[in-house]
Amino acid sequence: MSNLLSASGLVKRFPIQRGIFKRTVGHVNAVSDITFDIAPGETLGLVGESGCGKSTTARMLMRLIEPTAGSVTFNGVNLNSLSREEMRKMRKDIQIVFQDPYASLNPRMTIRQIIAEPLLVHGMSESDLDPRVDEIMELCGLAQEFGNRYPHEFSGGQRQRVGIARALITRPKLVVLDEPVSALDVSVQAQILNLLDDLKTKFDLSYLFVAHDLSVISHISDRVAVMYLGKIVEIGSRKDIFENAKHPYTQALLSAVPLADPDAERIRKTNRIVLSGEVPSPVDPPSGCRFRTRCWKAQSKCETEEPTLVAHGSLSTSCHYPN
Amino acid sequence: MTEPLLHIDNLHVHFNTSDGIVKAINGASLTLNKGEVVGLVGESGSGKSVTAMSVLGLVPKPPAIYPEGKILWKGIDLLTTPERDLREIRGGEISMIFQDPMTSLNPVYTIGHQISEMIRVHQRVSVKQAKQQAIEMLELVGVPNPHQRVDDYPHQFSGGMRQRAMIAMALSCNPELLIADEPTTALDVTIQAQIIEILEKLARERDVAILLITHDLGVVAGVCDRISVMYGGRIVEEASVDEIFKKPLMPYTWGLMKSIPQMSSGARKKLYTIPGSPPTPRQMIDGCTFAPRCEFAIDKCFTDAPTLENYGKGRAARCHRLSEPDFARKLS
Repeated sequence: MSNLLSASGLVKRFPIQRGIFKRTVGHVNAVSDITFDIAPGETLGLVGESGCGKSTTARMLMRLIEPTAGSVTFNGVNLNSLSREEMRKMRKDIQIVFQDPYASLNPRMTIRQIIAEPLLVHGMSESDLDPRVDEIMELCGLAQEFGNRYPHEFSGGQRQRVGIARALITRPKLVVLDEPVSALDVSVQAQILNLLDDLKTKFDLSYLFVAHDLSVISHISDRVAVMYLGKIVEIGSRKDIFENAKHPYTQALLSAVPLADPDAERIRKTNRIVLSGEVPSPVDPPSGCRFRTRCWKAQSKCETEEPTLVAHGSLSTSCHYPN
Repeated sequence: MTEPLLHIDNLHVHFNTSDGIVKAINGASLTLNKGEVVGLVGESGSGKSVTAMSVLGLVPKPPAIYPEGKILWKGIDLLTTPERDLREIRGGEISMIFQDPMTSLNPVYTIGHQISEMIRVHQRVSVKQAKQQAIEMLELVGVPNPHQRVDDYPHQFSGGMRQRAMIAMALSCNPELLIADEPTTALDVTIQAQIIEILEKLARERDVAILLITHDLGVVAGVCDRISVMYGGRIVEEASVDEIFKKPLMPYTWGLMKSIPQMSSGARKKLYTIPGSPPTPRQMIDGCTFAPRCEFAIDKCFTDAPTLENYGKGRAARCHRLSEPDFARKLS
């Protein structure tokens, strides 16, 4: 099966500049050598804590951030070899929905203008717009009369529907969803998750779903990649990750999630893995395995040798002592 | 029965704004006993933070007005207590930690200075003793190298460490009640687990009552003894943690629980959704505040506001339809 998208060896290092001459004094290693594929019709969940590089990765796929090294192949085309103009055309097929529906919509444009904008950018004449806009608004659960209103008149959930409608109006093949529900209330979150599910079936979409909430990831993903400090530590099917995770970080992450079930919580609490310490700085990541400073299984080998992703069946784990 | 530590009785909070009166809270009742952990759950705009801030007298008056209700702290009504006496209680007997530890710490003073200041306001101790106490508090909440870190400024602390410093500050005067307003919402899940562990330890070992305000039903399920659910400025249901999760009575609580995605690898089901979005305090709703989104609403729900009725075993809910004998069975 050919992949819709392949990211290979993606690296992003942001320079840290100081002083009036903007001298580079170091680098933030936001993403360090990440490789993954997305198959047509698949949802890949990308999960990790803040600062692990998941949003940077998502943005590099669309070249909203240029990678320091590595490449992204989409539908057989190497995106990093495209000119700006060619990339712009390509974005018709890869769209993005942002986390904050308050910051990502232009307050001076009406909802209709916002949703129609991508089609104008991609050269559709204004007379052909209306039916397309009407169609997508209806599919996203936005009433027609909302079209002439401005973003500030809407709640967070409705704004996120506008963000989704804007992304889908170009009929993309892949949609990057960067924490699309984390700013929403619980009761509204479920509406948006169901909407994303319906739209995926309707338009035969593939998703890269970036989130920090493991319950949401387990609900929406077909495959899951777990990131820690700029690296994928484990990647596998939803079943692999949520039932047979072999990486200690994935295990700790799953164990830390509080469940909305008092009985289950009582049992989990007795054998909960509470990680000590915090994520080290990406400016100067630990040698060897990046997780070793917080890992209860760390040995001397973990300090000297960097583990690589090793396949155990359909699950790939980057750990010297997986279990 | 002994007197409860905190008893909020039918609290109403309105705000006088240029666009008229905004009725933020219209009937919030809540009881907390010594050493008890109670969760106050609700979505944004439900009034949970205003309720908590009202306990400490932190809502500026004006614009706030309190047309009805009482907040009894060991029998004394805090709403009528003069500011001078309130200052003794605030920080001394009742402490609060906030969601965003960066904005609640002063960036130009060291962590140690801010904790000792709090201690010196409430206790007659020397600067040196206060600092020593501050170091002990930091150690208690798990800040590594407290002797050195006590002289750090807030920006030198990470998010999780700042929240620890806030907890240390809140606990420095041995309060009897700690109000925690979304204490883990800004934190990552592995750090959240650490902070929750600390809060639980405190409740157990130091017998501190905790009012935990959150929108995360997972957090309350693990920590709380009892839960009150707030919606549209009213408490709509209260019960013990086991009962409310097993058998919610109010359609909102029921819908909220069904709409959370479960962490599992099992077969995927469509999530239950509550249509629409939560009301803003500006919206004037005559009947039940949840009626416009409720799939069980009948005509009466849109005209008459239901009252909070008791259903035995410390359970209470606000719903007209619960008077029908077999209605509760529909919520399963």
